[in-house]
Amino acid sequence: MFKNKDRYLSLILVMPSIAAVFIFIYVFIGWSVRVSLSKWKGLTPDYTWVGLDNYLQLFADPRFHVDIRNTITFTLIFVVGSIVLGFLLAVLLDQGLKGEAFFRTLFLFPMAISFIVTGVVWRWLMNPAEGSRMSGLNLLFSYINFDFLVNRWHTTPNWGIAAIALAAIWQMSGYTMALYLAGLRSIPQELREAAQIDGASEFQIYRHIVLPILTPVTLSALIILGHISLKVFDLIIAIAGKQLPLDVPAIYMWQSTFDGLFYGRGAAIGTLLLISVAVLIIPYMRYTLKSESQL
Amino acid sequence: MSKKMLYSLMTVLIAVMMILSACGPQATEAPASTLAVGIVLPTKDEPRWIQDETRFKDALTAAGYDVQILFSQGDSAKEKANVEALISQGIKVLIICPQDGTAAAAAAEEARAAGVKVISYDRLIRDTEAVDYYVTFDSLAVGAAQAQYLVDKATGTGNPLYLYAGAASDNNAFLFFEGAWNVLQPKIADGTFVIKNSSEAVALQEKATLTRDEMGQIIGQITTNWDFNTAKTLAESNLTATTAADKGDVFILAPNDGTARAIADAFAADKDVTSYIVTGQDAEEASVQYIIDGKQSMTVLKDVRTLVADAISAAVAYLEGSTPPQTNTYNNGKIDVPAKPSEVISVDKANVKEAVIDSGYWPASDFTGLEEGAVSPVSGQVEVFSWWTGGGEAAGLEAMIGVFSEQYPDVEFINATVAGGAGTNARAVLATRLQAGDPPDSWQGHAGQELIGTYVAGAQIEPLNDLYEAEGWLDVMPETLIPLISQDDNIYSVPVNIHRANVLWYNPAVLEANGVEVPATIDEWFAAMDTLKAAGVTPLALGEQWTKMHLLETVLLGTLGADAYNGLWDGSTDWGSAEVKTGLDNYKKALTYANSDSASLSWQDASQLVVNGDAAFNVMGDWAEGYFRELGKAPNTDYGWAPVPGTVGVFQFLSDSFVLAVGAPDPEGATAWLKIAGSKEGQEAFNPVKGSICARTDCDKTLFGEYLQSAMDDWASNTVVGSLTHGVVANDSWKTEIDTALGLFIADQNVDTFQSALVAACASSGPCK
Repeated sequence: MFKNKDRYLSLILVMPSIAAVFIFIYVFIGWSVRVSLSKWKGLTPDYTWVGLDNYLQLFADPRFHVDIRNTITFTLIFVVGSIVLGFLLAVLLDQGLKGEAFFRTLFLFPMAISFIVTGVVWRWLMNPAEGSRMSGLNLLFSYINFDFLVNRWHTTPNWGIAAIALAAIWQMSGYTMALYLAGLRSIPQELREAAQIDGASEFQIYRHIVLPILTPVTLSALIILGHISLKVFDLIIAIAGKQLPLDVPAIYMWQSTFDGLFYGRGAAIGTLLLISVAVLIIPYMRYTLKSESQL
Repeated sequence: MSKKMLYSLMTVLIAVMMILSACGPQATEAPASTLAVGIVLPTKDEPRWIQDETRFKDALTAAGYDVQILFSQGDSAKEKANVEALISQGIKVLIICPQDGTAAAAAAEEARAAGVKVISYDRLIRDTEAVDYYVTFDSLAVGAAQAQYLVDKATGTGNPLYLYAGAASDNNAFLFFEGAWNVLQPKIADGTFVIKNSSEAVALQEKATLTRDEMGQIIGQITTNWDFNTAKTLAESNLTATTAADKGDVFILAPNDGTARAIADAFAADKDVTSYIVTGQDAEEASVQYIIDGKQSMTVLKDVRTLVADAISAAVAYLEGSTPPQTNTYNNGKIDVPAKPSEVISVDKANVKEAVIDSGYWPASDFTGLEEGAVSPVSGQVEVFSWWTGGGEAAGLEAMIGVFSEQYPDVEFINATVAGGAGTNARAVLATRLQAGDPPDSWQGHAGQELIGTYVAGAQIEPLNDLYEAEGWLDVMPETLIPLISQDDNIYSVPVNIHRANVLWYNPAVLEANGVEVPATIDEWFAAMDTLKAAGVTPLALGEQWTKMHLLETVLLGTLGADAYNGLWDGSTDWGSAEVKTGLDNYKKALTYANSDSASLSWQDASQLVVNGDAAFNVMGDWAEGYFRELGKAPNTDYGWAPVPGTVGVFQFLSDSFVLAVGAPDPEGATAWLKIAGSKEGQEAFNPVKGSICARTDCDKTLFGEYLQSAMDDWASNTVVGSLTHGVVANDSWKTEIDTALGLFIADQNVDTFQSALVAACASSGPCK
């Protein structure tokens, strides 16, 4: 009897949160999907059903092609770059060198600041001006006679988005490092010793022991970085503003909806973003929930 | 142009047409050769008649008639001599304002005998059959309006009342007095007023309707003879005859403005008079100033322009053998004279600006202290929504709010601003509020399609044609501007400021060092930039994507010209045409002269390249000038300006404007705000601070700097076209589509793809089908 009473009480207590989550997340997702299937354009809501028209138009839209290309480029460079750099930093810190705590904080620090701040700083660092107006990294490269490194950064035709990815890597690699470092620390010293006794080289130890054990960490990093890169918006706006060569779906969504009042199209882009993130997140969440319940 | 002026002009025009058509084949016998109309006016000593002289002369001369105007100088004998002189010159129509209604009868009879039609103008000729028509204001209504004003201002009982009247020889004086008596008598009978200066009036105060003789007895005691000095002497003797107990807060019925001022001065000089309410009539300039200054309480405006127009149309009707319209008759003692009296308007401090200045009756510049005079009883609160949160914009808004609070002290102003994103954030907030049915009273937006395409389509803003009409804005804003801020002939916003988009900024020193002249055509421009490029100078400074759209619209304008450019936005110029392709080719070529790092530069960075000597040219709106000044640069030495090549004589504008929300919580307050936003005072407060020019063409040039003064000249004289980047010519959806096409073009440089994308954009979001 008490048990039942507790149940009701707890249910009543969480009801407000459940209602809020239901309304403010799921109802709005539903509403967005509905809008994406309408021809709403302009300030006045217009729910006339047009089926998948908005989606079909998007797939035929050269700007959306640019967006997809940019997202893929950005995701590949950003995720791979952050994981590789994060892993290397973790391995270095794991060597037990002096001042480890200091470096750990130092590498982790960029994660604590917002993408907007990162953007403003990197906008200056990656200034593509030439000649007497040269500044930022280009000026540094030129000063130390590394002229071959001087480049147009985010204004490079077709590859500008890679420069944005650099700034994102700078920000998120520390976080990846933290994930890996935790993973490395959890590997029992006995395993490494056993491998050493078996005559494995250091590389072989990492290849056959450390990396397989760290697979769940890599998976987590992949998912977290992946969904950040799909949703990237503020970093690009802060570095370059609204410029088509650096366009991504989130910027197109914003411009469609609030600048151009194409509510239907904006909602369609939003829905596609949600689906792409869900494809990444849902299997991961199922996996985590399963492993947690096994504990 | 005010309605009344329009009417009188129309009258004259109709008159001309009638005459031309009536003359038919004998049109060669132009009426100009003989004297057709003779006019006799009472005296040159009153400004009213001098104005009439000018108005008659101008209108009749314009209509092609010879006219002679004579003055009687207050002398009936001279009047008769004048009439005789005119008859001898062969006039067909006599317009006469008699000095003495009865004495003029003889002159009228002479005219009748000579076959001349007699129009009695403003005052009625009495005791004769020889009057054909009477042009007049409703004189009873004038007296009633004066009396009603006194009644409205009086509280309690025992208010001392002083009565004055016009000349006993003037029939109108009786009508004014009669009209006033009809309203005042019940209030005298019930004790609200106590007559202090006429024993005859006191004796008759229980009598609601007076005979002409009874009125004559009263007027005999209180007549001013329409003369200032008589009025002054009479008022002074009245004040001497009465005791302090008969003074205090007094009420004075004065028959017209001239006497009202004389009487008011006498009462103001008496130390026992604590306050006075004094009526008037004619809205003479001096009295309008008195009203503004609080020295005269009211006047009755009889728009003489209407009267002149009516007299002329009556004369013309007789000249071509028909009869003028008739709605009333006035008995002159012998016959009922046909007439069609005109309306009168009661004017006091509260409506003096609207009724006298804004109607165009008198120009505002003739008066001082008008602003205090225009204090309106509007109260409540008005919420105005904008994204002017910083810099010159916010300071300008504050200055304009200052003007608003001065003129509408009872209206609470709520300055609702949303910062960020050059308005993007604010517009998102506004969209949400509008969708929730919670509009602010008024909000800011770029004049033109940005507002119209968004908010008119959603039925969220009201048309403002009536306000434009009432405030006379159509007369002070460029004619070519109006269609650009209208949809289906409805005007939807009040532009506060004007910026120019098609400005070419250049560095004079850089041009001189390379032997380059300021280009006037696109070809000259390209040639100049070739020279500069060869010399190793960056020819054109360019910034991020929107500045590229800004360049695009000016190059299109320079290539197509104003008409074809306007046609792009109303669908009459084909986006797929060869001319547009030439424009796009020019644009592509222009981009080749630009700095390589444009994508990373803000507009400030780009404009700065010019003043720093790093680039020769920059195309940017004239807000750049404010920025140059902030940098401490001097006009004509550090930077020069010219219209973008190919756009000389064209002013490509953009403007911040305010709208009236449908369902505004306080429409009265919102209208008050819009009146300030469109007023000379409001715009003169806002624009010098913001660094833009007034949308009105009558702002004081001395408030502005050198560049802005030149922009003001161009604004008043050039053809006005709208900017694309800044929301005038295309709605938001269309502009976003063009922006996307432009972005893709900058990446792939393919003009054909670009042009077909522009064609598609016009079809999907513009007027093209």
